[in-house]
Amino acid sequence: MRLYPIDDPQHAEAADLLPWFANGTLDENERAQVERHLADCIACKQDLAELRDVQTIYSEEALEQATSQGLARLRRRIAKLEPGHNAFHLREVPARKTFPWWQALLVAQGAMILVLATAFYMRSEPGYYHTLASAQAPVHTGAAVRVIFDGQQPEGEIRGVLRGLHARIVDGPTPEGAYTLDVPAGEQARALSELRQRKWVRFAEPAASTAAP
Amino acid sequence: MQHSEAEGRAAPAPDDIEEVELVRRIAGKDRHAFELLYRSYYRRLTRFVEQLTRRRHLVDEILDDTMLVVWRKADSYNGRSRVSTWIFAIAYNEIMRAHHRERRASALPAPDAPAVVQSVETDFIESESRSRLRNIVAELSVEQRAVIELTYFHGFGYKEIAGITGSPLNTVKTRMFHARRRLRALLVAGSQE
Repeated sequence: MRLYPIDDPQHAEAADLLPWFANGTLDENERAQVERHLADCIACKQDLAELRDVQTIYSEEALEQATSQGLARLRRRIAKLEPGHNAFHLREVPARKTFPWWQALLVAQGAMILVLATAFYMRSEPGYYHTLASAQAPVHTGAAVRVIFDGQQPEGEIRGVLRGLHARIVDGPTPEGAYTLDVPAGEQARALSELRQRKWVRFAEPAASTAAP
Repeated sequence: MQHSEAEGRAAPAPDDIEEVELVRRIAGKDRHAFELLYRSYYRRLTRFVEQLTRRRHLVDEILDDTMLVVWRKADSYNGRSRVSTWIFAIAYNEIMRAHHRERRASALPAPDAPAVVQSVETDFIESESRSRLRNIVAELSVEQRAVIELTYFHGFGYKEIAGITGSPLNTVKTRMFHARRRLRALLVAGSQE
């Protein structure tokens, strides 16, 4: 383990590639090259740790932002639908803490209210997107799974896992960050089991069939 | 997750094959295929456009323009990159066009009017580091933000980012280098608290 001069070509090349080493997108040769260098370079090892910290903050902020915007948008819609009704008192749901079953039920209930309210709104106020993102249920070919991620993982990694399960996000996030996944028929149990093994999956439960009526 | 490039790429993942098939059908004006692709990309593209433009009023317009190009130019997709790379490249072009248009029209100093996130009702308690992050990201150039966003959030490789932004590989690395230097302030400030 040593300190390389900053203009050392091997060091400079590996240092430049660190962000993509961290997100797992380097090809085999590049990955091996960076790994070899990391085993020997104090500065790059420290850089990688810092980079991962920044990436974690970035992912958290992204989740927080999406959730806040979705919630704000829905509040405005619900305020139009139900004037005077202060809906969605969901601020007490902890952002990144344990998620007991009774909160899961609240989430499912909230998601149902959201779906109904959105469907009602979109029927009553057709716009340009009405035909593209219409109130019709998303097209599903298999079983549905409802899942909440803890926001610690890069979206690329989540998509990699979903891809392995042949699962596709067809709805969400709800204000609580719940997504609905469409998984191939007969694969629901395996998908649930796989998802629950991931430490960044906070909640994974079968969802009521969302196949188009 | 391994991202492949045109040269020497590994066998495409099932999702990639599915998306290529969707684009092929869209080229044949299959509206259902377009809706599926639209749904699949809507949130990712919205996030990307919001992060780069920082202007709420541009988001829907750019999203429309991007997906309209996908609809009209699907037959020009040549399969040499992933579908996601192709679509993000279209979005990036639309973002940069809108960005230059806005700057010309209003002579705004830089792409940083109040960030999208600051215009929404944020009544959640936010951590200091996330708040600092937003400030730092807002100070980056739109090109640097693109590299950060595509790497940290969307999980693209640097070669794909070069394809999306139409930039040389070294330019992508240089933008990342400068952006990271700015972002490092996050940790420095955090450790001083």
